[in-house]
Amino acid sequence: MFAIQALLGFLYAYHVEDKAQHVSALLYVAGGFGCVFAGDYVTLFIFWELMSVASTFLVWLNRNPRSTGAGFRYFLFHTLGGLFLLAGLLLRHGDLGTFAFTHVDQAGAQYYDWLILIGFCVNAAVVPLHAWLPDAYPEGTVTGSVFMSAFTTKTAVYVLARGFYGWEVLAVMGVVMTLYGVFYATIENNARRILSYHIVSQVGYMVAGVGIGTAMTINGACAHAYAHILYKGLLFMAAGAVLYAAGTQKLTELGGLASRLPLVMLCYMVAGVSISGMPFFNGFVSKTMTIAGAFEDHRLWLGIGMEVAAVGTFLSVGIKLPYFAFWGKPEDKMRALRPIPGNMILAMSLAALLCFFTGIYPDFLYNLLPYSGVEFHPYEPYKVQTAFLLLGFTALGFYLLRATVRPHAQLNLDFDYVYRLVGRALMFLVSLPLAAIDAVWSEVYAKLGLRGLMGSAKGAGWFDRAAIDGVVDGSAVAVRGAGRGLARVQTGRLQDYLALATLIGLCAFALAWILG
Amino acid sequence: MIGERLGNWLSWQRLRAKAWGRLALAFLALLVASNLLLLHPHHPHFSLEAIPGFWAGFGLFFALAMILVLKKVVAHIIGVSEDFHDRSK
Repeated sequence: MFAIQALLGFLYAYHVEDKAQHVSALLYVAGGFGCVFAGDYVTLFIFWELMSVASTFLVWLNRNPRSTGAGFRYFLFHTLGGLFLLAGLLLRHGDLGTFAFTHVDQAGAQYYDWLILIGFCVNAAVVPLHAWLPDAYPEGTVTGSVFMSAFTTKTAVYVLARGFYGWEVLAVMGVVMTLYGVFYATIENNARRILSYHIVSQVGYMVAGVGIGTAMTINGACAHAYAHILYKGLLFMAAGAVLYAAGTQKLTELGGLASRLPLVMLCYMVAGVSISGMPFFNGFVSKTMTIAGAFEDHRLWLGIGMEVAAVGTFLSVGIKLPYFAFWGKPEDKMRALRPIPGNMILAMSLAALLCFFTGIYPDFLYNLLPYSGVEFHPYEPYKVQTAFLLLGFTALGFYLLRATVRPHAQLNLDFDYVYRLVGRALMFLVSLPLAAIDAVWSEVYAKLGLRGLMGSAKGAGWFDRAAIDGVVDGSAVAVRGAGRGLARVQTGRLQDYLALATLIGLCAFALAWILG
Repeated sequence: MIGERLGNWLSWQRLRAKAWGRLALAFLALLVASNLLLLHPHHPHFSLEAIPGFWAGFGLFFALAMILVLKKVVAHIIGVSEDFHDRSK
């Protein structure tokens, strides 16, 4: 699945001239593969950090002040998550003497298992550790966000399913995520931010499935992850295409574009009904599996919560976003649209075809699931009817209140505001004592240091002229050369350091691979 | 070009939005009718699910409730102007 999506992503990005974007995307995809194939925590951690660095570049390469800020916050937060993971796995090694990545039972969990879990939850965007996602993804490059939407959270779901299935806390948090995501998406105005909140929501289904931990819900979570990679990538492609063509992703500034961008609209709608779980599209065959699994495990409230989230998903991604982007206003014949490259259209069409294909031929996904022998047939008449009833009357609700749901140009505060406040407070705490020490030190230096220095300088000057000149001249040349090289590396910009660190890390890894 | 023809077709259909709306309503009515008369759950997960039209009411109710509560109440509480973060720097 990762490979299919990577292929589609690169096809979508084929027209991009900026080589750095392709390099970052490739490194990022490599990190995703590494995480999935990792056998122990150390390998996992290395690829985990590779993903985090590479995806930060995908945000930065959008090259505007907003994305720079978003990238920094994204990177800081992922570093924090990575440190939780590192601390957890080192403590675990200290206690058990192994880095093996195996399942942990909640009953016997130690504090370090919880640290690892927190590290994973940062990447899975579990509320309240999720705010990096709707902060950074809308600011990424048009093509970069397509990659990011597929890999980071799904890798996290994979590691959770591998190490932490059956954890009650995940079941509850998963359902909270599904609801939290749709609530924010309902009032959001920025198209790609709506989609970002829906990543939180959809990953919630997977986390809940993993948390409930029966064979059926874990299968449902995995099936949903596969389906999600396809339709969410397509949603980001279509929203990216609108941004590319119209230059804005705010719904208040869009509208009436259906006849101008008909293919984009069509592909978007395929993805929109897929994510909503409309029969004949791939969300239906995977989402209903998780929900049915929850009901069969007698987790009534979790199941109901997920059904409410399904209503909200169709409401905001299936209807609201396309309605206000493509319809909603009189036809817009005047707006200057940048022509969309053919490769973008081709990639979207292929993705749409796959969403439809896996929807009508679900065994394509079901054959890839971890537990075989779990009977689930999505296309029983009653299930299809239920889905249509649920979605159809959601649409009716939208129609009745379409004036109220009209988006407004506003920003909605989320937990990232808390992060920012904490960051600012830390900055203040660090700089306050430092500033005080600096002031005192300057005073002392001015009073005492200068006089002493003057005296010693006189002595040193004599010694220098008399003895050292001859010796030093030779070595000075060598030092200057090395210094110049170092100075070139020390640009003072975090992105250069990061790129260098990644490069060195990769070289070290390659050496270890070849020599070991 | 497919795109252009599709675009023209779409702008033609815009003029007939009413007919499409009626079609959609008819589809909904058909669904409810089939739920009332033909298809019942074999083994409902909870008692309410056995009532015909339950999922229709569920969808409608939560769609309306979500829009009203979120847009009328929550959006006013957590909403700030778009340059909020830029200004506070």
